[in-house]
Amino acid sequence: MKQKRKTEFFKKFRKHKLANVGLIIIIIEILMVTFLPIILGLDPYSIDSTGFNQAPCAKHILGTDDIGRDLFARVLYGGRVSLIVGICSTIISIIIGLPLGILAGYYRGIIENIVMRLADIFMSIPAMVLILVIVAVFEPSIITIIVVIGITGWTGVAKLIYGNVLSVRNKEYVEAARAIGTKDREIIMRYVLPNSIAPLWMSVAFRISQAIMTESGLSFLGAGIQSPQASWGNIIYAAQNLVVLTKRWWVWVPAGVLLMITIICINLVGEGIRDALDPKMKR
Amino acid sequence: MVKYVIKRLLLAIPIFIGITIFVFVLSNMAPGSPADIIAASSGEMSEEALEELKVSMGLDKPVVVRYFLWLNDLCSGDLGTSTRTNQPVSQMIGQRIGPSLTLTLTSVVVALLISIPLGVIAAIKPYSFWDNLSSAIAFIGTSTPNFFISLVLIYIFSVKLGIFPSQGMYNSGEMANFPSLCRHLVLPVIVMAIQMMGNFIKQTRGSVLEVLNEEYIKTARAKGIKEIRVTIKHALRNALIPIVTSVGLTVPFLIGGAVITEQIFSWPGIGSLMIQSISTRDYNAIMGITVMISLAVILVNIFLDVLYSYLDPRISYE
Amino acid sequence: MARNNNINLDEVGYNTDDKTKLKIDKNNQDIILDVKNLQVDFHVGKNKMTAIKNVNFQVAKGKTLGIVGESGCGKSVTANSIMRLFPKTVGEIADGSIIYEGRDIVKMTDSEIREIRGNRISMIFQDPMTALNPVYKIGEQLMEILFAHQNISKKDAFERCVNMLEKVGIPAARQRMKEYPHELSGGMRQRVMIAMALLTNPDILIADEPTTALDVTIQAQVLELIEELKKEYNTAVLFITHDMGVIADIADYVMVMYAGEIVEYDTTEGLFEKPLHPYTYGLLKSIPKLYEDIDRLYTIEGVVPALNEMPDGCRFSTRCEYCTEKCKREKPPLINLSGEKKVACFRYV
Repeated sequence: MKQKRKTEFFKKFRKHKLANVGLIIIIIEILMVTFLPIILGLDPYSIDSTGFNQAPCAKHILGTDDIGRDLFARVLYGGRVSLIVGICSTIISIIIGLPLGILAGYYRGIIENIVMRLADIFMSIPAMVLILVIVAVFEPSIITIIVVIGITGWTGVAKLIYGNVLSVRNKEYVEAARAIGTKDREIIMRYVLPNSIAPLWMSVAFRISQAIMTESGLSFLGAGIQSPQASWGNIIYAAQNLVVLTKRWWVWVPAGVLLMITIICINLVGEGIRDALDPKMKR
Repeated sequence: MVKYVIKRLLLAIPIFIGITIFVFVLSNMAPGSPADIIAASSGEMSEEALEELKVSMGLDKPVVVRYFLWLNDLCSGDLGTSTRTNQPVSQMIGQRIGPSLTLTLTSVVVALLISIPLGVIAAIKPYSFWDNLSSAIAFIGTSTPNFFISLVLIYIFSVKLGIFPSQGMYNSGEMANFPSLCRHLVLPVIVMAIQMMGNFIKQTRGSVLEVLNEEYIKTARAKGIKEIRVTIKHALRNALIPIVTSVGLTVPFLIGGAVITEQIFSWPGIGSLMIQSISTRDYNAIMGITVMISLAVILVNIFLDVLYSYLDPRISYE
Repeated sequence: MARNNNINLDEVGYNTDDKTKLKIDKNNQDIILDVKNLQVDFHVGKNKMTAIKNVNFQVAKGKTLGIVGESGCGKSVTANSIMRLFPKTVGEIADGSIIYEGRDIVKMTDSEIREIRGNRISMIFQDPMTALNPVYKIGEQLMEILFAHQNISKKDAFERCVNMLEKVGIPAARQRMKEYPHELSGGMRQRVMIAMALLTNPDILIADEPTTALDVTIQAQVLELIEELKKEYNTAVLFITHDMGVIADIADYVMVMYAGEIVEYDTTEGLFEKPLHPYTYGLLKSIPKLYEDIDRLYTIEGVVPALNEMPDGCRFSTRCEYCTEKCKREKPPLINLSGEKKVACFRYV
């Protein structure tokens, strides 16, 4: 049964052409940022003292930045960081939000109150602002950025799951399981969770792209990934300088375009997943 | 209705207190007290002078006591003094509210004015040219980082074409005047509106499509009124209810987007003040701004709830 | 289906034996609506499916024609096509004509049909709970019709609506005008719908299962109301229902539809006295009777076949207990029998 549902899902997903194009581009991108630096021996930190602010040339295909680091290497490393931050912080959001959402929806009562009021508090502080405050307090590093974006994302996951659990917990099959004395733990794992998790899968891709967008925004503001570490956001940061913006397009355009392509492709994959899981929600 | 608003405000108080605790605790986890930061910025300072400064700032008291003192000040409108500018934080925020509201409200209005008609047309003629166009706009809008759009727009319209300015609300040294404000608004508003339009278009299309299947739309057609009237008066009016919800959900994102946009366009609003305060670790300002922004989010949500009951007579808050 | 719209009935192959009988109605009554050879196609994906076909009937002033059949029989499609109420994306009238006052509704422009809708022909829908717009006051929704069709001041319109609400038996009508639909009970709302339909004193009233969603006691009241108003305004009524009991109460003539086609037509008395088509007496047999002591209520076996699974021959053949080989192969024509009776069944050829 489960196997059948899986093959059904892949069959439907394959029909969504754009989603497949997006998936292929993402896979190529992951392969590139993982292996190209090793194959080509690129180093994002070493400084080429012979040339700062070089235009693209044979030695540096995307030129160098203001202190002579190879921009192609930095763009690739930046891609690593962005993808890692996007995926890891989404995992953290789910690790926190999923159990809280289930507990709140299944047990109701006090725990529901606590979780939901906590979510209200978190949701009243715009995520970007909250992240900026946290980053101002704790030194920004890849780990803090991942954790912070992950933590601020829990409310979305929790509310989504909570709503679904609420509707599932009163279904006949759950009541029946309860009536024959099945333990809560087992009811949750066997009935409640599998029947309320689909919307979460539908939203995972969008959460990842959202996290990448947040990370790059933070880094762009100078409050995210800090130099010398590379991130698409902090590479584009240089373009806040008018000279870079107007005269050295190769500094910020490649990173920006890659960022855009990445987010578009992840979102396309997300639409594919959503349509495959729920044909009613098409578009 | 008045009763309901009061009830909502009362319910918001615990959430607001939660936020203040959260923000206060967070700020106090920072390494180095505000006094240390002042000391560091003023260069040389003796141990004793530092202690004295700490006492004068109330930093010698326990955290709990300091929280209540801060909360007490907060409730009387005193957000403390900025360690960066030595101005009262409330005053700094006060100066910045106007520009921020101008930018965000204009963006919301522009986004709605474009999204709603596009969404309605897309719903009336699904899979038509307009539908495809609007879903493309929606998709690109939600998929492009706002700072990258900003840079591209600045590059094209400010640097290359020189049509629209990219910095501030007015030209430097210029008196406040409306035409100049409008020209300065164009680029940041485009950036913020594009970001919101994705959601608004999708929401409008979806809810109009749903409403068009309702029986009362058939009733309206059977009355012999014009199709445009059926669409706007009967369908859109009902579809507005979920659209308002989606506007409410966008508010936090809107503010987050405003922080970045204000920073890029040097817009003298709360967002850029936030960035300045963070880069100088001006904790009083950071706390004050965060609490005020959260309060704004809470109040906007209450306002939208009231709007809701106005849009949908079936909701009764008695 | 690009055939001539003014198709002659003879060409279709029906009623070839006796043309005069078809005109019986015309001899002594005012025909206000004449539906000829109507065919409606639905778009399902890229395919077209025929929902109703060869539907012919007439409605006379002050008379009620009942259309009866199970759900999915094309009753509502027939009703909606008279007002051209489905959007072009859903379906279209592929063939036939609907003659109202000498003009063919099928060929009218959008603005011409709008003048008729809600003005000369109006409609009551099945579910009063969903047929009124929840965000507008009753008065607003009533007056909208008057504003659409007449040059009338707001004050006059208000008074006319109050009068009409009183006429349909709504107490405190002036007060009701200012209330929202959700503040009214289902029965009240259906009265509002009836008031709405009769506000412009239309020639034809189409009632699409107007009592189905209501309690039995309210049903009787609503039927009585429609009956009274019909007499008062001499309105022609097209009454659609799946309930044979309701038909007996209200209709002068009955048209039984099955799977998008007419299977039997007669006066109400004639039909109840002598139902001919197996489907018709199936329907009649399934009416519960008060004093009969039976274990189970009779039901017709099976369901109406889906549009894409229609049998080649008689469409009822899959469920008919008298089904023969011929029934499966050939389509029985609708033939005229004595009086006004018409039936489409090989048993009477």
